[in-house]
Amino acid sequence: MQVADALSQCTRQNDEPVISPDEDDPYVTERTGQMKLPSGRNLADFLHNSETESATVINVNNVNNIDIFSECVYDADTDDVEEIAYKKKKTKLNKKYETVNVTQLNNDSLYDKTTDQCSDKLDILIFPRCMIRNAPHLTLDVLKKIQRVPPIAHMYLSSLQCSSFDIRCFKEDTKSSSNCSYVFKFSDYAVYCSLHDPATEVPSGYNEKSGTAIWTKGGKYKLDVNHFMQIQEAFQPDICEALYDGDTNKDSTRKRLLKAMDRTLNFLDEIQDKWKSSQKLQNTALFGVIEGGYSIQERQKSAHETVTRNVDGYVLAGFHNNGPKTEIFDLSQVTEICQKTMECLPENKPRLMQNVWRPDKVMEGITLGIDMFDSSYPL
Amino acid sequence: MTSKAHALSLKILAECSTTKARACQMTLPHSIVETPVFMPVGTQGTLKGLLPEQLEELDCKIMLGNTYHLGNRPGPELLEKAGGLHKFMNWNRSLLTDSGGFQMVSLLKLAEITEEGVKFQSPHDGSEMMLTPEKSIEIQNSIGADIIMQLDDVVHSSTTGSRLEEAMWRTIRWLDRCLKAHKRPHDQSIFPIVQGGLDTELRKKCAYELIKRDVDGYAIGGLSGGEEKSDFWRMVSLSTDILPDDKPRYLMGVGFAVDLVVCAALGCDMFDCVFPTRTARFGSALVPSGQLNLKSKIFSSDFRPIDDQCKCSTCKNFTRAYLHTIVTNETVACHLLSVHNVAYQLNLMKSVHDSIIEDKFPQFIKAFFIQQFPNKDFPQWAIDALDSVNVKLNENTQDNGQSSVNVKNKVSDSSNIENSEIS
Repeated sequence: MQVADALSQCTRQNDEPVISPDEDDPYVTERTGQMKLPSGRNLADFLHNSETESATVINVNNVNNIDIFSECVYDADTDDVEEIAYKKKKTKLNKKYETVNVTQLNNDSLYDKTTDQCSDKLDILIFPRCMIRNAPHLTLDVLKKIQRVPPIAHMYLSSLQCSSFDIRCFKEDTKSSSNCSYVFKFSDYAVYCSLHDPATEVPSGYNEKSGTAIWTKGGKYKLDVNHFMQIQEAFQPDICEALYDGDTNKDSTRKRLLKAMDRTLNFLDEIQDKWKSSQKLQNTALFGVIEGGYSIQERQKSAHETVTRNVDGYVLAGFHNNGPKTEIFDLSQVTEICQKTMECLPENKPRLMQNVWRPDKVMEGITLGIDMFDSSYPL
Repeated sequence: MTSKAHALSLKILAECSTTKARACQMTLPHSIVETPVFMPVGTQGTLKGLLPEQLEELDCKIMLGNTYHLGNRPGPELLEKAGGLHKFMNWNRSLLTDSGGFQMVSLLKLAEITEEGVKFQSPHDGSEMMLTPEKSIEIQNSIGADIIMQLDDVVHSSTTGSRLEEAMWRTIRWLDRCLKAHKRPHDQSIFPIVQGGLDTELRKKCAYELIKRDVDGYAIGGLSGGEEKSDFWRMVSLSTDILPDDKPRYLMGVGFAVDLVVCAALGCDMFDCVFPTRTARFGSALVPSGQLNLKSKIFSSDFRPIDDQCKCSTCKNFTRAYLHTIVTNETVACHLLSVHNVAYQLNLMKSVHDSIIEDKFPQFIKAFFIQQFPNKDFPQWAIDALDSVNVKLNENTQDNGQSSVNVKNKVSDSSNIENSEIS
């Protein structure tokens, strides 16, 4: 926990980005699982359908002791194509995985942790996962050449929103489906839609009670709940991160933390309220965002409050302001915070954290009980 | 009719009964190339924006590398260690390298030309490099392309007088030095280059000199440097008249669709240009009716593919509206458009090849020109050039209806939009 900084207000300009800690799950050291999306699209199916060549990777049910990591430089767990990184992790990984069966995200999300205790056998491995980001230079063609790409794509409103690609376009385009994954031809992928681009620093001090600022190529854009809902209804992602105020970091005052928490919960309440009446979003999972900066107490409070709201998964945010500087983030700084937060979260729902980047940090994150990561680092 | 077991053999599959065009099969050490062919330019060991794998998927059989740039970086020693450019860039099909001479024009400020060779200053680190004919061949030998070019004394196409004549004769002297220095005639073919600017007599002299040498093919150089089109086509036609039929003719630096079709009719077999990929990076897509500037607002809610007939992955997957959205924002747009534009060029040449085989090339030309110029405002030079090979563009024959079968016809409503976009 950090000492409060009296100066930290929401108008502060020069927040130092802080590195986001991972949450620890004191009960499980590693979680693997499979996620069924509310839309009925199963991530595992995506894998089977879109990547037949990688069958060796996926259909390992019947194969014992397959060292999948030695065959492919590409690492499904971190989504990292770098050889060095992969070598580093290889030995670790083989020993650690437990197998877990299907998690249903919709109906009370059974996170069935049937652990075989067979550490060398790798069952369907969906969690932990990194998500494929729409990265510079990487076309869909080329992406498909990479084996074992995770079947979930990460898009962010800061890039979607800015486009002159009006929301209405989504409605006009492709009658077959209006899901944004179809528009962007990511139909083989599930789509996770976050607010910010993890790789771009979010300027501090622009969030308000009524809405959160997202930063597009065209500049600042204030997003309130109404607009947020409109966009999500148009995009219809598979998983959607709730609107939140995550403008906190190591140096944030308690006052700021509380403000972030309150706003985030208020947004969530409003969103959930509208969500129920939205026909279009019945197949979209909603992830609640846990705030609380570097304060264990506030984190736990935020976690408890979010849990009572019965969302489909959790995002841990509010540790930093995104952007390249988070690369130097040291997870170990916040191990305790994460552990304590994880204690408050139900076992059976996925936990996502952005900006856990370096492969070794991803490993740490997995140990802390995080299930989903972004792939801004390798991409 | 290639005499020895050369690194290149040309089989003429069909000759157009009207024009000078021919469809051939050119066998090279790394691939069999059907001509007329367009060769995308991979300046420094890569085509900008596309992986070699993607080029293979587009059925591209031959691409270009640039000797001057490759010689600078990574340099011949490293390329030799890597086992040649094919291996270095993971491209197992054919390659052609230029001689480095073109940079005499494009980097003239940095170059000093003497009888010995050309002295360059590296734009990368300022170091000096003496490019002699021997050096050029040495580098090209270590690059290992299937076809290599002689070092020629390139002058700007507007040059006249004694400098032009000097350059022409020097090109021939340098050719002999190149042929002498060539160490891999068994798997690399040297093409000499017809020079002589826009001077009819000099070009003729040059061409007649060159055909005395025993080589596998010829290039026509020193053109497409901004000269008048009316001069350009005459120089091309004059060169192809002299060059032997049984050897491939490579027209350097030509890549606009109209030029490709006309020059194929004038008897050229090979073309290269950075234009399709370069224009892609500026947001322009090539279509049968010209170009689409995807930056234009009119595409913001146009949910058709760039070209509904095109089989490329970009057209299969993405709409104009989507491309319009990302074209100035995301680098991915450059790649997507490059894929399409290369596919367009390759398809165009494939259609030319096929129509020559079927002996329907004149009809193809007419249908092509109608699509490019629906108001029949054909450029005069093209009318003249095609007239010289017995294709009358302005003659309204019944052929047109029939010929349109050969060329992909656009949906009529779309052609209106596109034509307004021809830049």
